[in-house]
Amino acid sequence: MAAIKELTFLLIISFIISYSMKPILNILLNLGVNKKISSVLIISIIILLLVSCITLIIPSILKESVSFQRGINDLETLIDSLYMKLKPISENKAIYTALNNINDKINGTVVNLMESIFQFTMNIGGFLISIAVIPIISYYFLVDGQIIGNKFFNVFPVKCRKLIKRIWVDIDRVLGKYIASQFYLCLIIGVLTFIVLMLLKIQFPIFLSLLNAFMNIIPYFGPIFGAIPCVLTAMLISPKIALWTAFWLYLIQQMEGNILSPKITGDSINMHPLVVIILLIIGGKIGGFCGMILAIPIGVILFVIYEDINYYIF
Amino acid sequence: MFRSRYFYLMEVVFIRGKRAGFIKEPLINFHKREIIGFKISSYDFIQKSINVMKEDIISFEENMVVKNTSGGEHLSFKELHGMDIIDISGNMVGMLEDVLFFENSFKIVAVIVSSGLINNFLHGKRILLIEELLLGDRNILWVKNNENIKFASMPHKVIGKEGGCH
Repeated sequence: MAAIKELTFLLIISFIISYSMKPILNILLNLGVNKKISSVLIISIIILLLVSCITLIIPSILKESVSFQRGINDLETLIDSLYMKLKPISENKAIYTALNNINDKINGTVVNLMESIFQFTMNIGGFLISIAVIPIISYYFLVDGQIIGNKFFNVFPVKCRKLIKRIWVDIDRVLGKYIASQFYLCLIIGVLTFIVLMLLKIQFPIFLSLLNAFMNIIPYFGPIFGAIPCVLTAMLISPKIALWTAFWLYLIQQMEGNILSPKITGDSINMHPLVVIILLIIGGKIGGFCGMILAIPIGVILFVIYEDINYYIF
Repeated sequence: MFRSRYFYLMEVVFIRGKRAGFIKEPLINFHKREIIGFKISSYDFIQKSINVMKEDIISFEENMVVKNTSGGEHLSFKELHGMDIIDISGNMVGMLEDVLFFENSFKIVAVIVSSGLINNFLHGKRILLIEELLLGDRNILWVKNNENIKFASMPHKVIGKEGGCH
């Protein structure tokens, strides 16, 4: 069972990587570069990025996480001082309990977060060899995607294969644009957040910008989840810096939401915001954080299937 | 004959191979009863959305090859999609779902009307000739010419079937 789970994970990750790299492959093919060479080039860049991630980012995250405790203590001191300021105004126990609760919550959340990060790192270590296979599978998906796809369609009976292929073409058009655009948007948001955090001299810039970039995949809720830790960390320096952080992150989100996102996704996902929110809530209830990330792509697939069946059946 | 979905997200490329964008929706001249072009989502960062007019289209199959693109505001299919269609007595016929048009001239022949999910499966989707329709601000008025002829698109078996309308 574990082997099947691992294999599925590998195939899905490789598929997402090769899928999101398809636009770059097409650009290289249009430039006249051979398909195999283009694929090798893309995979090499991914490996290079991965290696630099491991050698540069992970040690710095760990370094940052060591000083995390100090950060938490600072935050607690900040909350305590806030309590001291509030004390003369109202000497009731409600505020004391609320502040205590906030302290506990922050502590709990950070401990849980660090625990899950370490757990994740341990799991990665567990199947490191399998992860090393990802670039190879991704390479074959890129080079022989067409052949592998055709073989996959052999699973379905001949009678309905044509219809499934047509539906797949439509899903491919919409989903391809969505996945690729999310990658580019995450990259842009990550870099911009990193620049802002560096300029404002906020602690843990790499960790926070990675978190904000990753959270950005989730529409509407994600940017808030991503911005809160940044603002809280900025509070450790001064409330003024926290306000500036909030302002710049808000500006980045506005730029992403109004200029970059419509441009990059190109309105390919023609979904009403209300539908998106409902999907996110359902996804969150079913699969937690992962459910929220997968809710939109799954919703898009279901929507395309419905539209296509509605189109072909009449 | 085509329906608008045939062009859904179709890639638009210039003659020299440069990609212009992808089709978002058809542009309609309701008065002339024809598709005058398509609104495309441009890959160019400066331009938000551009149009490709019918006369600039060279060919289309998997991708659409065009000579030129242009700007300008036109009536788009999105503005008509979902509009209620009522008859002269004020009874609601259904909701405009799609348009049917000729392959070469892009002249619109009829519109496909949805009268509810279950009703569509039971009685099919109504097809109303465009010459019997008048476009209003909020609704489309259906002026029946012939009571005896009724067109409908019936649900049919899709598995193992070939051809048919696109």
